[in-house]
Amino acid sequence: MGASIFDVLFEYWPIFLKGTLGTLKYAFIAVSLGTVLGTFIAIARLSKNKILTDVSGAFVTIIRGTPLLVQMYIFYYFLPMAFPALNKIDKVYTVLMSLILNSSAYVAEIIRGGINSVDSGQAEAARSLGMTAKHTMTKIILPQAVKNILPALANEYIAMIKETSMAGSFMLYELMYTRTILANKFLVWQPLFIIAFIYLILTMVLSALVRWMEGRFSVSD
Amino acid sequence: MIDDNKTIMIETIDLKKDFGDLKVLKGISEKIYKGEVVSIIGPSGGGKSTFLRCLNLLEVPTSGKVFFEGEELDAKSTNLDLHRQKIGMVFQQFNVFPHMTVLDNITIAPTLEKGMSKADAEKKAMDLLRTVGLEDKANEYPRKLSGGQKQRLAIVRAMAMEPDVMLFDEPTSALDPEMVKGVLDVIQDLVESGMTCVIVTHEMGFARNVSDRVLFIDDGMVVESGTPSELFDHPQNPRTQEFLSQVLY
Repeated sequence: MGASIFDVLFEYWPIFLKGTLGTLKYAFIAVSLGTVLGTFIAIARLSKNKILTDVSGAFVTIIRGTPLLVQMYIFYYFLPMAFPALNKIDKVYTVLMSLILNSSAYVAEIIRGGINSVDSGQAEAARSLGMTAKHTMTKIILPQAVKNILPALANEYIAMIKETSMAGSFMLYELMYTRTILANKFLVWQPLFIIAFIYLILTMVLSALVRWMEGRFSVSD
Repeated sequence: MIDDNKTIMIETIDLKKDFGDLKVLKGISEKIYKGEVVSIIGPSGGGKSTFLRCLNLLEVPTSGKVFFEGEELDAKSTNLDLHRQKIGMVFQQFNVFPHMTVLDNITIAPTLEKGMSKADAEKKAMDLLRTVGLEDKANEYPRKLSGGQKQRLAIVRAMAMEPDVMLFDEPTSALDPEMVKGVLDVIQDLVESGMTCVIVTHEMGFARNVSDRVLFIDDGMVVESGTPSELFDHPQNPRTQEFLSQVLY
């Protein structure tokens, strides 16, 4: 068995800390940029332009209907082959790109749901005042949709914290990557329990935060 | 109250609207004149609200044309938003903006779409709120308002755009009975100020009192139209007679 879990934690805590910060960072980047992209996709899905709705709908279906791990492999191995220019950028970015795209599809559905949850009379009232489609969306619909969107977005962030664990296989320095580092030092089982424990703490703390947030929003109704 | 020169404000030509297989409007050609007050009555599901909603293209007609102040609304070259600024609309469910104060509800469209300064818009909004007795609610959120107060807010919100015509879609149908009069009084004031109004309503007594003309719409068509006394006292069409015999007013 060798060293105990605590021995490993005491000796290698800076590695776990760096991995944890990496996980939080990559999940945050994926969900943030995924939110920007997802907002546009959601608006495209709700638009009256058939090409826009079809393309965005197909994108969401494909991304949500295939495993993230497969998407990562395609981004990591296939895209640089198909587009040699991508070889010039760090592989970290191609993997990160797959995380962002993956997140954007889920966020698009969250935002679409949030927009649809706003009573249609709100848009009708705004349009009948002569407000443009853009102003109606940004000033009337989205501010009301946010209350439903924010908790769901936070949940997406929690899910993404777990999903980034797959990125460790592609050399992204996140929590799961610490396993690879320590396995090279013949520490195989101890890091797994430490990693699992850290994931659990992260998701539990953030889930509690989401519940608090939901409570706050329901008060303002 | 019809102008001598009888300027046409809104005109529909053979307006038809289908929802799937359901033919809701079966060809309505009507003119609304400047300064005129037209009430639309008829059974539920007969197409009254759909007709009204076609007048500002909230509902896009399946076929037929809608002209507003001489311009065809669904023509490609028409800036619909600009025309809608001139067509105020009041809804059965009020549709006030819950995430904004009463004052912001009124000022948002004039400041955003007409480039009015915030100070001017707020001054005008306060004037309007005074006319409907809501000046002390200016900084409240709509959830603190009663149904009747919300509807009065919705009316002045539309008025802040200085429309040429006001469309009312069953403005009192969602109100508690004791709130109805306050809202009807506000509409009455508008009528007396010379505003062109098209009012879909189940308030027969009100329709009779304020209207220059009453349309009876049933089964997607204007079955009968005339002055209030023609329509209410001497209805010619059997369906109008049947409908009026069933309603209390």
